[in-house]
Amino acid sequence: MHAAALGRIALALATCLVAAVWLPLGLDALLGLRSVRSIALFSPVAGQFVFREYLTPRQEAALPAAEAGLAEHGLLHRDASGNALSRTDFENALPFQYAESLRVRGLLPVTIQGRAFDAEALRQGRLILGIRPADVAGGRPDPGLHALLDSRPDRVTLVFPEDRFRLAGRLEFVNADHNAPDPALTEAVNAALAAAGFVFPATAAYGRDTLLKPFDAGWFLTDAAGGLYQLRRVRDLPQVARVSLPPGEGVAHVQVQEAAGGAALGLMVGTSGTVYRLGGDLGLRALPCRGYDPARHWLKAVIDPFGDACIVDDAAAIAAAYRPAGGGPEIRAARAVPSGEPGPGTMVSWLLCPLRLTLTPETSDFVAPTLAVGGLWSALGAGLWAAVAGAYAWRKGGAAAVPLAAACGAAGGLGGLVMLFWTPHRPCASPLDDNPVACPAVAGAPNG
Amino acid sequence: MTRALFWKEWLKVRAAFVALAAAHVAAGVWAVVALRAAFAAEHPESVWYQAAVLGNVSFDILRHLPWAGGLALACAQHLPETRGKRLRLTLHLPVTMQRALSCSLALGLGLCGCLAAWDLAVVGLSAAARFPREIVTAQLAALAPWEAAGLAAYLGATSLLFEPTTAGRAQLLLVAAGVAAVFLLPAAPGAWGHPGALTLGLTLLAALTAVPFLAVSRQRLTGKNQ
Repeated sequence: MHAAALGRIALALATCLVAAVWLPLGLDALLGLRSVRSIALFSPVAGQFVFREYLTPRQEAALPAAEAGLAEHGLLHRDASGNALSRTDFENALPFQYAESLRVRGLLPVTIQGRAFDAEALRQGRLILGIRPADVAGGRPDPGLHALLDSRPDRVTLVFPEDRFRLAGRLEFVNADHNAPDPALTEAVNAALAAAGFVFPATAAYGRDTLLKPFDAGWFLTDAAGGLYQLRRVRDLPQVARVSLPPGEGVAHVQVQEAAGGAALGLMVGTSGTVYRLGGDLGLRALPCRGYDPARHWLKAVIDPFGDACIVDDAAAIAAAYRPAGGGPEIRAARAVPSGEPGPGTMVSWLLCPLRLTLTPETSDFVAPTLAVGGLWSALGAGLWAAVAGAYAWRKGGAAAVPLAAACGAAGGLGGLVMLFWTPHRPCASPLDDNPVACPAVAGAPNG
Repeated sequence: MTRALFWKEWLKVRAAFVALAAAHVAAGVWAVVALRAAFAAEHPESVWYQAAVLGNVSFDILRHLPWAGGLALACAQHLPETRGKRLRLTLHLPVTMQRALSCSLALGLGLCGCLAAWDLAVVGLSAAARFPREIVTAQLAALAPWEAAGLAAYLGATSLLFEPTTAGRAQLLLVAAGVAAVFLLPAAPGAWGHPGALTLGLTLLAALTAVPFLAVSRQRLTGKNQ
């Protein structure tokens, strides 16, 4: 194959890739397409889930008159039955999340299921923990170096230590002042881990590498035997505690999230798929998260004195479950995300760009090119643009020019049509064969 | 003959390359000074945190220099050929057009590669003196796609300069800019470590490398510059 023919295929490939990356983003902006996730929270007042949803302008315009007045800039609140709520009713139904709103409305103290709560009690009773798909291992670049903060009980603020550790079978601490390993600290920490029963090598470290938290829960390390250990540093001395896992359970992910008050240290996802609340005492309590896929779903655990709620959602749907603290049946609810439903704009977008190559998907912090197609509308678009490009190429360059042009039209959609500039005129027989002898040297003719 | 072709190309670009090399040396010095200033202003552990967790780098100046340099080098190398209609002289040489163009691209890409190697060496060595290997690797991984944008800009500008038609130039401009924008996408250091990202980046660069051969071929077929 001639280099020019190879160049034509290469240009078609580059054009289709670039079109699939950038054209859908332009169409999203042009057509006002955006998908906004819904919010679901359990109301201990109403005894049901309430939702906040974003409606596209078209969906908002189609609301019945009774609901149209309750929508604010596309945001509409609903209860589990789908009835629209005003923002005030929504906030009043969620005293733990909107304690300040209730206070300014003079509704405090509020009585919930026979118990009175003032502003401080509401604030202390609220706990929200969450995991994004990008938080889970493999979803983001691993910095490889972690700071083991000193959790001195006599100091309010947290400060970074002069060292960070890496996992190299054992833990290895590197001093920032000298950019060199710190053998004494390394030995002390590894000895403390071994004394607690830690089986080297360490396989993963989970923690929250920031000072912007109320206290430091340390790092949770998994060992070669599948055990989970908490490593903390108190007055520069290592402290290790083993987390007691349920029988047969392994660690898939630990999301450390120090909650004010120290009641919870985060969430643990087990290899069985069960999600646990990791308590301040290192106790695990299973949460009602069923159908949770860490690679795809956002997970939110909302815990108050009356029960545990678990909400999982993606761009298309939201599902929620609530388990009362005092026992009783679980309450479940699920709704589709309105802005995730395909509308005319989405269909036009797929018709014009049958393929969409997303470089930075929501589920990853990596540049992770992800190809998506839009079902029937993509197929229609691919067929349409392939036919247009193929027909033009056949007319200008003969049958031999059709396959490449049609492929470019099908894969690149509207963007792929720019390859028509390169369609050869007769008698250049083949678009994949550049023989200058066969072509007339007509100045200005877009030949080749 | 090959040596002569390389020599011809070098004569065209040497002034631009010396200017670009000076700019890269200055940018390298800037990056080193910025790194020293960061360590002078804050405790080392804070700088480590910013580099390892927040993804801060001291060589932001190198985000736009490679692609601008790629454009400049392509213009210096190929504008004289296309504006002066000297391409036809190459056709009289006892080598194929493909070989002549390969030599031209090899020299241009080689010089871009030299500048990229300098940038990577300065960033890598200056970081290695202050940071552990994990952060050095992340910083090099942050710089690599910016250097790839330089190669894309060089190849795109080369194709554009050889392309004889306005419509074709418009397409090549869009494609080259689109590819460079992919490499310049704001992303955390190490975010290009995904296998899919590496595959996409290498595919785009490989595709752009083949396009100048098509553009030159079209020049010959349309009778322009001959």
